[in-house]
Amino acid sequence: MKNVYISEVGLAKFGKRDLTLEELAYEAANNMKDATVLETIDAVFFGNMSGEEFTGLSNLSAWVTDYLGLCGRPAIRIETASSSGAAVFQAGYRAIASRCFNQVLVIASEKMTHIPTKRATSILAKVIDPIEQRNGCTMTALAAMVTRRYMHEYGLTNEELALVSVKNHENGMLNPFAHFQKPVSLETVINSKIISSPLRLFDCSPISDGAAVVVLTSKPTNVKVTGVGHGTEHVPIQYRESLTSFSATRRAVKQAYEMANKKPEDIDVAEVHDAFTSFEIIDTEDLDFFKPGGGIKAIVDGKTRIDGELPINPSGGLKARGHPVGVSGLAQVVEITWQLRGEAGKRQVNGAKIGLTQSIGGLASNNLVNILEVA
Amino acid sequence: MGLLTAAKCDCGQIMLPPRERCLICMKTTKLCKIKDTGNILTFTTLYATPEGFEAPLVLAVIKLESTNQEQNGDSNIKFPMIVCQGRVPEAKLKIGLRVKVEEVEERYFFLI
Repeated sequence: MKNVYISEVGLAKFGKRDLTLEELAYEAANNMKDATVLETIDAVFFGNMSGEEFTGLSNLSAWVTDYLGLCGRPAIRIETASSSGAAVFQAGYRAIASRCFNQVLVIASEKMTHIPTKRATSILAKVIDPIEQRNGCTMTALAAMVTRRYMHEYGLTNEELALVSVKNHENGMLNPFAHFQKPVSLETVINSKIISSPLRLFDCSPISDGAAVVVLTSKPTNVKVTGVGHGTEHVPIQYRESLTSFSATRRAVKQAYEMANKKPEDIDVAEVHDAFTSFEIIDTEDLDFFKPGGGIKAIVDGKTRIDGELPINPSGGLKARGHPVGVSGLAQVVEITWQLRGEAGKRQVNGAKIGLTQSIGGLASNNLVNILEVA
Repeated sequence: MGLLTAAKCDCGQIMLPPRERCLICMKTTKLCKIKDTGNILTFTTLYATPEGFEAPLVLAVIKLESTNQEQNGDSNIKFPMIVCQGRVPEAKLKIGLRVKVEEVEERYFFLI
C-alpha cells in the first residue's frame, strides 16, 4: 500500500452565504495556498449529503468538477449522510493507497440556508429509520433522547452540558472561517429556547452553507494520513445495544488506532462530531480518551480547551464553525492539517504532532475516524 | 392487557413492526404477539417538528417488557426499544415509568 500525504487544504467561509453549492466549492478551492495544484489533479472525489433535496440539482460531481475547470477528469460523489466529508476523504485516501491515482482533489460542498427551517429539518430527518420518521421523530429528537438518557446514566447536568457550547464558541471566535465568531455565556446557553428537551438552541449545531477541499498525494509532504477507520450501526435504534455510546465510532476508531499503531493517549488534538453538545462528550468516550461518563469531568476541568491536556474542537466544532452536513467531516481534516502545520493562528494547539478526526453519519449509523501525523 | 403484533426470529430478536427478515441475522421471521406494556428509557418534547407534525410533540423510547419470555420458552429473547408518540405533557413523564403502547397504522403511541 502506498503512503498518502496531504498537500493543499482550504475552506470556504461557513455561514449563511449568498452563494450556490458550486460557488462555495470554488471558493474553498481558491482558498488553497497554491491553487495551481488543480492543474495536476488525476481525479475529483466530491462529498455531499443532500444536494438533490437542498438545491434541486443532481449529477453534482460532474457539475462541480466542470465548474472548477477540471472537465475531463474522473469525478465521483460519495454520500454517508452527515459524515460524507470524512467518507469522501477516505475514498480519496484509498484511491491513492491502492495506486489507482497519484494525486486527487477531495472536495465537499453543501448549500442549506436558503430554504425554510421546517423544510431543512424534514430533509435532515430522512437519514433516520423510516418508522421513527413516521412518528415525527427527527435527528434532533433522537439526539435529545440520547442526551436525557446520558444524563440519567451518568448524572450530567444542564450546566455541565452548556460548558461544551461555551468552549466551542470561544474557539470559534478564533476561527475566521467559522459561522459563529462570538462568545456565549453559560447563562445564554442554559436560558436559550428549547429545541427538543433537554437540548436548547445553543446545544445544537446550526444549519450552515460551506465547502472544504483537501488535496491527497503519494508525494511526501509534512502531513501524512496514518490511520483510517469506518464503521456502521443499525439505523433503527430498536436494534442497538446502547443509547449512550455509538458503536460505529468504536468500530472506526479501533481500526484507525491499529492502522496508525497509536493509542488514545498519543493524540495531541482532535476534531469530533458535536452536532449536539452531548455528542462531543459521548464522542470523547467512544474514542477512549475518557472512560464512559468521564467526558463530563473532562469538560468541567477544562481538559478539552485549547490550552488543556487534550484540546477538542479547536476550530469551534460543528457548533461554532457551523454544520454544512456533507462538509463537516472534511473541514475537520482541514483544521487538523492546519494544527499539525502550525498554521492555526490564534487557536493553535502547542506542539500538535498527531491529530484525530471523528465524524458521525445519521444518528451515528455511519461513522469514520482519521488519524493524521506530522511527517 | 393488550397485545401487539411483532415478528420473532430464531435468534431471539423481536421486531416491531414485524419484518420478514431479521435485521440482526437475516433469517426469515415468524409473526408473534407481545404484551403492550413497557418502560420509558428516555423522552423528549420536540418543538422543531418536521413537516406534517404540530409542535410540541412528545416522544419517548419505550423498552417493551420481557416478562413473557417464560411463556415463549426462550431465554435468549430480545425485546425491542421503540420510538412512540405521547399525548401527555412531559412533566408527567420520568425514566422508568411503566406505560402501555398502542399501534395505529404502524405509528406507535404510549399511554400512561
